[in-house]
Amino acid sequence: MATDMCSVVSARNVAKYYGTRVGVADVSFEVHPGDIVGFLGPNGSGKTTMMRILMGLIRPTRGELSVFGEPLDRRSHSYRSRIGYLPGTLGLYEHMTVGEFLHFLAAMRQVDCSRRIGDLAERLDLALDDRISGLSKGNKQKVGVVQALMHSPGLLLLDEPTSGLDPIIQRVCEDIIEEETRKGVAIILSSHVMHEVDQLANRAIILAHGRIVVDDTVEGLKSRIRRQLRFEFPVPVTAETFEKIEGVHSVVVAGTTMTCVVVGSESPLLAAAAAHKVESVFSNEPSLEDIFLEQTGNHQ
Amino acid sequence: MISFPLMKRVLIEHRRGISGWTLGLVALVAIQLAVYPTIRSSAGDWTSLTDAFPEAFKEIFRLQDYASERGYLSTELLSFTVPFIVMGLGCTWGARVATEEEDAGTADIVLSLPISRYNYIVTRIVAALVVMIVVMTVFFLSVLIGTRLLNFSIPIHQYFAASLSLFSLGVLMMSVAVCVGALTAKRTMALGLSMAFAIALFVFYSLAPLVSIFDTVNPYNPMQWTLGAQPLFEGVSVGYTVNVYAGTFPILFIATILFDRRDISG
Repeated sequence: MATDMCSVVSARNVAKYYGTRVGVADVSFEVHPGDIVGFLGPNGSGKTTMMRILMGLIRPTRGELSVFGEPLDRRSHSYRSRIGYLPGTLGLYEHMTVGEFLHFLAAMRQVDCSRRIGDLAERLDLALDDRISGLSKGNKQKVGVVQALMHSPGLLLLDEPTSGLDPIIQRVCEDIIEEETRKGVAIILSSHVMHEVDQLANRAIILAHGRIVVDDTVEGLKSRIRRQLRFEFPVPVTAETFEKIEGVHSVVVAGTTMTCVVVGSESPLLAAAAAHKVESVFSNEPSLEDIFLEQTGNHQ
Repeated sequence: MISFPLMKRVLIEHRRGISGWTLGLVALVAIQLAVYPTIRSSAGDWTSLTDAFPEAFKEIFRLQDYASERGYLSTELLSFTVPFIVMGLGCTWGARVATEEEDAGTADIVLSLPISRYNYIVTRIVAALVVMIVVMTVFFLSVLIGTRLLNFSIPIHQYFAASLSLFSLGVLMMSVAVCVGALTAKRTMALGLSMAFAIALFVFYSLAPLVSIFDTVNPYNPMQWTLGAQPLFEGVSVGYTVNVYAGTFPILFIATILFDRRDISG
C-alpha cells in the first residue's frame, strides 16, 4: 500500500456495502498530524460509517486502511489506544457517576487519566459526582467529549462534537479542539454545524451517497463556488472591460456601481478594478453551508 | 486475555439480578425442604399415592420412590423447576454476552477501546460463568445445609454431582444463547431461540420413555447427559459430563469467531 509515511490516517478505495446498499464507496483520503478535516454530507452520506470503519466497529467490504502507519485488519486493536472517539449516538452507563464512568474507561485503557479528567471536567463545567442517568443531553455530550480527549490521543474522531452543548461550552469545546491541533493531533470531525467546520477545519471532505464528492481545503472550496463582488467607482465604467476577465461570469453596471459574479481566483478582477481607481469593494463570502448545499445538491 | 475492569463492571452492574436469581433458588430449596418432614412422616401414604399415578406421568417426571430423600429431591428439585431456572439463567446471561452493549447503545464507546473483540467476548463469557458458578454454589450450599438440618443421609459428593449437572446444563444453554447473540446481535432472538432449544430438549427428554423416536435420540440429548444420569443416585458421570463440555466449548468458540467478524450495530 503506497502510503505517505507521515499520514495519521490513510484510506484507499475503502468501500462498505450492506447487500446492494452503499455505505461508502471508493473512499480515499489522507489525514496528517495537525489536520482538522471536516466530514460534511447529508444524513446517510457515509460520514459515520467511515468513522466506525476507522474504529474497527464495522469491517470494510474492500479497500485498504492504515492508522499511524499500521495497516488495519480484523485483528488490529492496539492502534485504538491512540485514538479518541466521540460517537454520534452516545450511549453511557447510566447507573454510574461521571467519575466512575471515566475512570472505568481509563482502567480499560490501562492509563492514569485522573489529572486530565479533572482538567477537562473543570473547563467543561462537568460535575464528576453526578449520576449519568440524571444528566441532561448536553452534559452527557460533555462526558463524551472528556472520554474522547482524556488519554491525550494522536487522532480524534468526533461525530457531531458540539451537539446539544450550549454556546458557551461550544466555544470552550472549540478552543480545546484548536489546542489539540496545535499539539499536532489530527482531527476528523463530522458536523452539521457549518459554522463550526468553517471555523475549525482546514480541510473539508464532502460525502454524498457514500462517495467523496469534494476533498479540498476550506479556502479552496470557497474559491470554487460563485461569489458576488460589488465595486464602487468614482466614475461610471463599462461592463465589457470586465466581462473578458478569467473567472468573471456576469457583470452588471448601474452608474458607478458594478456587480460581478466570480468563480475561482478574484485577483485578475481586483487588479482590473484597481486600474479604474476603485473606491470600495463589497464581497459576499460564501459560507461552507453554501458550498455544502451546492456540492451535495449536484449529487442528489 | 480477560479484562478485569470490564468483568468487574458487568458483575457490579448486574449485582441485583444475580442476588435475585440466587435468593430465588435459595427460597425454592427452603420451601421444598420445609415440606419434606411432612412427606417423610407419612411416607407410606405418599408411596401409595404416587404408585397410583399414571405410568406415563411417572415416567415423564422420572418419579421413583417419591417419599425417599433422593426420590423427593430428584422429583421436586431436579426434574423440572430448578433445571428450568438454571437453563433460564444460562440463556439470560448468554443472551447478554454479545448483545448487551449494542442494546444499551454503549458498544461504540466500549468496543472502540484498545481491547480486541476476542478479549471482550471472552471476558463477558467468563463473567457469565462466574455468575453461574456463584448461583450454583449457593444452590449447592443451601441444599447441603438444608438437608443436613433435616438429617438426610445423602453423601456430599452426590449433592455436588447434582449441582454440577445443573451447572453444566446451564452453561450449555448459555453457550447457545451466546452463539445466537454473536451471530444476530439481537438479545431477544438469542434469548428466545436458546429457551426454545431448552424446551425442545426437555420435551424430548421427558417424552423419551413414551415416544420411541425420542427414546432413540435420547442418548444424544444433553438433558440425558446431565439429569438423566441420576446424579443424586449415581454421582458424577464423567462420560456424560465430558459430552456436555465437548458440545459447549465448540459452540463458544464459534461464538467468538462470529462476534469477531460481524459488524457492531450503532
